Amino acid sequence: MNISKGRVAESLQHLFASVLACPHSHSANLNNSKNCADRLNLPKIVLAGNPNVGKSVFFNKLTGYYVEVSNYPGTTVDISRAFIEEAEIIDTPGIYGIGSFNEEEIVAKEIILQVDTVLNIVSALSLERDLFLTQQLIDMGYKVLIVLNQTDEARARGIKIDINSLENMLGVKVIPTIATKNQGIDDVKENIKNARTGRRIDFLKNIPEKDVLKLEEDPEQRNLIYTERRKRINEIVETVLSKTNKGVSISTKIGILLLNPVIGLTVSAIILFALYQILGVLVAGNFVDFLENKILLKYYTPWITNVVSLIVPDGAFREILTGEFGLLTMTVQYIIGVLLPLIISFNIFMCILEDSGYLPRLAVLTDRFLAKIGLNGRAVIPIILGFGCITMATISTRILGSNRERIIANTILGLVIPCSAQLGIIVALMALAGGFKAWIIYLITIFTVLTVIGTVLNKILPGKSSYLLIDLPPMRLPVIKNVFNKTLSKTNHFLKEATPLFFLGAFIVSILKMTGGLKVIQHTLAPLTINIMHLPAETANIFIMGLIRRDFGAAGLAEMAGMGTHAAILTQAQVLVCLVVITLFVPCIASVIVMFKERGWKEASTIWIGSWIMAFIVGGILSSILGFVM
Amino acid sequence: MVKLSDIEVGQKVEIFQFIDSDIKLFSSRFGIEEGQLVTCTAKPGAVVISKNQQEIAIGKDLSKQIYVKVI
Repeated sequence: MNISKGRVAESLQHLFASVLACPHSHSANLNNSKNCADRLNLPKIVLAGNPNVGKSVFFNKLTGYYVEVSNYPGTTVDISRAFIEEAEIIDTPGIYGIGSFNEEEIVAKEIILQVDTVLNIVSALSLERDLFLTQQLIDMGYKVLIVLNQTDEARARGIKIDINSLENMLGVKVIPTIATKNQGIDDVKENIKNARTGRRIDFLKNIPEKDVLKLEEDPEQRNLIYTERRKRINEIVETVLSKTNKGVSISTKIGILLLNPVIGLTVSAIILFALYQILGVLVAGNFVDFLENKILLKYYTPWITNVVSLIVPDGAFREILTGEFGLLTMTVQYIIGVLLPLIISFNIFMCILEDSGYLPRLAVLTDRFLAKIGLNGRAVIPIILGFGCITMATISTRILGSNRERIIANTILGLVIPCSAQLGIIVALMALAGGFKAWIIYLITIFTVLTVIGTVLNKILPGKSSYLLIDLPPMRLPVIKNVFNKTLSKTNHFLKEATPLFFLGAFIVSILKMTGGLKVIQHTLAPLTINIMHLPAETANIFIMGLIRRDFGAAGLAEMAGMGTHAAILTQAQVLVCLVVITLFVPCIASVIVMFKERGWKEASTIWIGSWIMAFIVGGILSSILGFVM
Repeated sequence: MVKLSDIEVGQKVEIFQFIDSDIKLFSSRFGIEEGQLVTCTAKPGAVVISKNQQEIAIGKDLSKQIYVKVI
């Protein structure tokens, strides 16, 4: 499996450097009484466990600091750390074992190798699977404290675990918890000091602990060790686990139903329709109209324009602040009036989906199609996350099994996936572009580009893609508090990232307008906009704004299309062409920066320039076709 | 003996052999190993098997590389 070791090394270097530097990270808020020296003396404890066993929930409860929690494997791709009275806690990505099978394992392994105590989170729902990592940690000589989480769900499914026997057989302490309900957290804190080394498998008895991992690097030895370890786990599970026949739970039944292609796709269609109704009709139509026209344009804009005119003399500076592309007028209006409501509602929707356990099932349903474009079903997770924020999705492509899959997924993210803010405007503008007919043309165009690009990359990229092999988490009712916290966290991320860029974009466009640069660019792009895509010259403004952020460009497009009280200067066909071009256009500056960081300059610049070319070519073709059909 | 990709929904099978040794090791960490009894719960292209309370989805191409005995 191709892993970028440089990137892993970089993130680890960063982690350990930050530990040593004791920066004002989130941990600083938790225990201000402790100074850096005290903190450095605290024992370091790693939270380790299989994917989706509740490590991040547990980290949140234990430390009071929020890291994102979802109901799909691979939510944590970065490392979080925080201080509590007893120790420094480091969260790690979910892994099934310590080794080098994928990037998560490499990252987690390097961190685990730096400490001697591990808080091992084990799900009571999948003891047989989770104990592999536990036994491996014990075999490697770590001091382990087991947190047996999700015991409520296990009980509901008729699973009973004899904790005393489990403790005796493993030789380490086991604390049952229900992290989502705060149960057992204090017990864990009190027992951190009781973490101890456990019973190693007989096969490794004469091998020094520190040599176990090295021995496992040899394929033959690894095979033998894994077989013996699995044998021991089977013995343990047989002894400690008993089941009462409670029948199949509703959540299991729903989970299986969603795997039926007809039902699964119907549910997807219903979800898309609900998204359209909520985002396109309710939020973009009614709420944005109210906020933008009845509040901002009626009260805020005249007020701020008046205040600025009293303080700032007429001229360039006033134009920058309150002119057509004003920092205090248009920019504020776009961020607060248009994008923020869309972002919040989209994030609530996404968080519910993430927490329900639907996404891994969608991964199974889409595996067949994604395999044709060189990916496997797992790639649906970064792609869906991309509809929220391309920057975050680009980082989450790390969960993919091979380098070629990451290249394909990043190209798709950079090219065809609109982010939430942009999507909100696209959904709202579809009504102005011709409604149902416009939707169909848009979806066919984007899907065709996705298929062609994926198929071509799958053919030309060397190597082989990895197979789908994933655990399906139980379907769960999303917890309102987590949906709220996660929406807040994602929205905060959006504001922090987008706001400075929006101001920068508005500033640049204002300067260009005042210096005549905007006209020059419009004139230069004229062969593309007017001759090839049959659009008015002013649409060049949208593309310049889109270069800073695609959603910024989309918000500009909303105005030209006649959203709200503005007069439309684009025809329906032109709006549709612009929507396609803006979708395919380069991702926002933040995403491009992350893409360069994640994928290197050569690959990222190819994707970047490729998306320009692709956007205008597809826009030109679509415009010619629409000349006949619309 | 048949390929895992050939089994029907509801069939109970015993995992007999993995063709790829890397997949064998990775599966072992999941708790799927040769000799394990599993039931096919869904088959939308990929094969979904259940084992105790755990459900695991195996991509279509991968399921062609795992041999099973129908019970």
